[in-house]
Amino acid sequence: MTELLVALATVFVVGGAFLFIANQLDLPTVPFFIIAGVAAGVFIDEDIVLEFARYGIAFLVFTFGVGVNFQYVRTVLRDSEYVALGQVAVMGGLGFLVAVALGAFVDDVTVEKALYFGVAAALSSTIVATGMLEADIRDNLVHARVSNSIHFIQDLVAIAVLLVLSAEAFAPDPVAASIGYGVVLLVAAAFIHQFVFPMISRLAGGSDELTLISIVTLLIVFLGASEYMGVSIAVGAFAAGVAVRHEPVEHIGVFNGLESIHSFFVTVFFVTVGALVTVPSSDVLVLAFALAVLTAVVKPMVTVALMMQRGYDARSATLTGFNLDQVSEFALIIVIEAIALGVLVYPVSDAIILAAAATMITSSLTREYDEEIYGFLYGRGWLWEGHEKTDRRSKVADDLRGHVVVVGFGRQGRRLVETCREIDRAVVVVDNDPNVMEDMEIECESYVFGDVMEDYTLGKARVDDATLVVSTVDQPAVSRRLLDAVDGDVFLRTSSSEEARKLLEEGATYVAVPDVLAGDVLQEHVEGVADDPEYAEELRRRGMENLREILHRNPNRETKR
Amino acid sequence: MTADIALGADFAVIVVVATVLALLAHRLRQPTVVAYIVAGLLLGPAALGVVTPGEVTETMAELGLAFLLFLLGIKMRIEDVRHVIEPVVKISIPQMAFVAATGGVTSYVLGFTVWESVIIGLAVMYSSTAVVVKMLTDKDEATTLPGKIDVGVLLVQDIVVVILLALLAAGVPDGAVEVAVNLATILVFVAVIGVAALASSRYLLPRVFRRIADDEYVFLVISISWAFLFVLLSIEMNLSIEMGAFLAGIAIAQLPYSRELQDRVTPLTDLFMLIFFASVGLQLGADDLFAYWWQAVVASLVLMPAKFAVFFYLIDWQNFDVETTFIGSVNMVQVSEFGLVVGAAAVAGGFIDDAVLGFLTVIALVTMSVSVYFVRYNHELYSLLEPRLQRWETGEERRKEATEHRGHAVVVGYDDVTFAALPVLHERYGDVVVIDRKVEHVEALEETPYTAVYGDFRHGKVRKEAGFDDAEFVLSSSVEADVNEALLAAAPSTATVFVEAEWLEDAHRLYEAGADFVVMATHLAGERIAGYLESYFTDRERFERDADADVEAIYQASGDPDVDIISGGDDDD
Repeated sequence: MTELLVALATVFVVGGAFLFIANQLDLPTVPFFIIAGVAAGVFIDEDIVLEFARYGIAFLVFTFGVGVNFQYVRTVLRDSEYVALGQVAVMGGLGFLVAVALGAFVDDVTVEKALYFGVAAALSSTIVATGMLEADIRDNLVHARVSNSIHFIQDLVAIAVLLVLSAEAFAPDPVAASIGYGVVLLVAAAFIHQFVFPMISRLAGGSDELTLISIVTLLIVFLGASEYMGVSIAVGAFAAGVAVRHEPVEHIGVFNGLESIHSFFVTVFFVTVGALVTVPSSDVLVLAFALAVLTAVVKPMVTVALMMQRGYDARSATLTGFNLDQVSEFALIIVIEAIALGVLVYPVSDAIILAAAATMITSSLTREYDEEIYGFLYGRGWLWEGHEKTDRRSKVADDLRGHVVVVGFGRQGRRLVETCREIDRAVVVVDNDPNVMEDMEIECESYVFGDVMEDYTLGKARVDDATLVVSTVDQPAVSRRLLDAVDGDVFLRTSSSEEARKLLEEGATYVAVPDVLAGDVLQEHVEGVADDPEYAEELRRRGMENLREILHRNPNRETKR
Repeated sequence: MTADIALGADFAVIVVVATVLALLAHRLRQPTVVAYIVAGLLLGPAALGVVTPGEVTETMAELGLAFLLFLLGIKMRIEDVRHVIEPVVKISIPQMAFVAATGGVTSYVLGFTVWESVIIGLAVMYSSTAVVVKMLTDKDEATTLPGKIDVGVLLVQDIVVVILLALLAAGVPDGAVEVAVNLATILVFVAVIGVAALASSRYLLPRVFRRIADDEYVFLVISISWAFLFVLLSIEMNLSIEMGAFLAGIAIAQLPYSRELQDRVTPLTDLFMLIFFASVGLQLGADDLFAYWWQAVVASLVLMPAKFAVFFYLIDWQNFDVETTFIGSVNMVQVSEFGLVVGAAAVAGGFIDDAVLGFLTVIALVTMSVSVYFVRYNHELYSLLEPRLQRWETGEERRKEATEHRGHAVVVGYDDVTFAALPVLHERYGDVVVIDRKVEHVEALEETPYTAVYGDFRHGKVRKEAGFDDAEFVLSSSVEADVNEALLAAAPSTATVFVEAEWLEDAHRLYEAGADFVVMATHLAGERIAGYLESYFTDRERFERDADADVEAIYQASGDPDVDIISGGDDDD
């Protein structure tokens, strides 16, 4: 029995116990792993598990690399690069200055360490946030989409930071060399993706085991290459991910398998991070507190300011802010990599780890109560932005009556506007996404740009004089708001039949539940197929034809990202 | 700049070389296990001598064996193996005695001393868990009847190894009393852990896992933690870590969610087992290998047929049919890696010298490499020899496999979309199997006439359990195009396949991939609202009639307020 095996076993036993607690409390897992590490630190010598932990880093970044879709990068850059990069610049600078200022009171905070502090203040966590955001992203809510893309951009920034930090010295030449190595790795990755990986897949000939170990081997080769070049293994891991970014259909089982290996090593990583924390001194606590405040309080404020300046409404901006108020796991990776590269970062390292654990927990709470917090802030008038923007960006005739109000200008919203035009009925569209603003101006006669949760927006859309209000937004808060505010008929949309039932009981005229409608259609066709063997063929033909027709009729439909 | 904590070069080299050789072996239709061992031999002192395994590599090798046994444990549902426990014990004890005797006598004849011959006998009586379980798992035969017998025998052997190792570690004993005391202690410890595992599988785990099984990541990590808990316990009690891992697995196996876990643990096991087999090869130096090389070859040639004969006779004696007997025996002709462990312990205890260990190593290596082919081609061998084996047929059969699904409907995801279709499918296709990843849904399904399979459709084991390959109708409510495309690729060509899509271009792709019908819930809802918007203004009566029907459907779908089955098609996330 090796000492390492006992250490690993301890990592998992303690980590598992804390994971269980996190799961019971519905809290994010990462901070609990860190706390588990702090607790287990008494029993394990983190030096001996550090190598395993670095494989955790490798898999974490590798998985991110696998998921990178370059087409997506382009859409995202258009969408939120200003907010993402602005936030990184402001928070990074602020963090750096705070650390330098604290250096006057706290021992051992050099300019270099202050830099790490700044990096930690600048980045937000992907794992913690996306886990909670998935459903909202699917529903295409503005704040979820923006937060997601901001995270994505920041993760890319983190990789770049890792590349720069692994330079021998913070001087132009070594940094340029590092960047050069990074480019070499990425070019190699592109080459492998194009030529080598398909060959390996062919050689492995459908064996999941072989494909899996081949991918692991590729990863290890990249890790070795990055070590040889003297850049962070995270950079190598990212390039490896890019090299095998997948054709999911062929390798769906394999990527599932990679997930297991990923889970194993990533768990070791996070627990080890916690184990690195020594009994915190007052210096560490001061720094950690400062970073936590910067992240949990100042960062959302910066986000809100940047977004509102960019034209988003106060509510979307606030909700986005609450998705970004945590220290990133990439900050942790940067700390561990610094330690592995022999850079002394204490006490900043401990402060970053503690602040990460704390803010990941507070962030899940602010996210859970985001609407309430927003309501509170709004009620105090702190988020007051005036009506000029809504006025400036809206166009509704003062004497409009008997019209239809359509909430949300997405795929469905557009379809409804089209229908109104066909039956010659006036329509006012309400949306708060700056990205659809331009389309709205071009395609609609009357529109209101503003948050539907606000009275002013509804007044502007003249809901009191409207015959019918149709919401395409699947958000309970919005549905309730409309039922409260509107006296006339209301069509709503929701994803659950139970919610639909409640909404109907609360006075909705009609509620569309996509899944129930789909279920009905399916039932009909299942019957058809079972009764008549020819039916299936006919169904397929008609389905394809129908689809072609829709695609033809609607060439500039909103595409999926 | 040099990294202070560099990733192990030994590990990297082993993985790279083993992978290259494995890809080659795959081309030549050879088992990967041989490629891994050869990679170790090539890199180790026997050939190039470029790799000395570091601590991380050694630990991964140990983890390999632990995970293999954990995985094996997860497969052992007590209700499934109960009927082989008795014959297994009856087979394994005499088998070990006969094989040990054969091994001992052979070595004595070959010129070893009495002590050496005794130790050699004790070292060669086990078959290799690593080889047999790995090969059977790869071939998906671990839970067939011969598989169960073999695995059972291997476990009894493992217990004996653990005991023997503990005895050898105590050195040359003072007397029978000490032997007895040592033995009793070990047995008590095994019993304690075993009881703890079974008790928790009954009282603790169902409660713990019911909630966490919904989250794949949490589920996997907590299961691994559970295995490590038992590993730690075993280390504390001086038992082998494999024993602890195995018992931890058995405790989980009794839960309804275990099948899903098998597919999750397999990749980790694959990776670590690669290191394990390579490190077996790495241990050998050229001197040790060649000191007694011809004796080792002779001994291997004697032992393999002897093992086969002993197993064949004993399994047949337990009234299994000829095929089971043959397959169960031919799988087990190799000498175990535990033989090396026993040999190493005997060297440390002063019973034998290094050259004898080299002798054992060559035997293990030769028999393992050869037997890999026997296991791989066991059924082919049987068909080849079947005519000659007929006289062993007694006519009494012990086995009956569980019934399988056929010509049925498979539904992926239990939600609002599939809910309405289930009764129709049941009426038309009879058997309806629903695959779902939510414990809550699976429990809700238990009240219905449909069969629920817990797990992710993407996992082979889950598809197999649902009889996916024999389905006549497949319906998926996942909105992930990747998942559905994989489903279309895997579905039998004769089946009718309905899938769901969120986006028009996905729907297009799915039709191209051969879907019979793609339902687009979001699009459908959009069309429906647009239609009602129109009729609301143009034909109010019709609007009211149609909307009422829809409202009716909503009330029906939300019918059972106790069960939240309405969470969208997100079961394959």
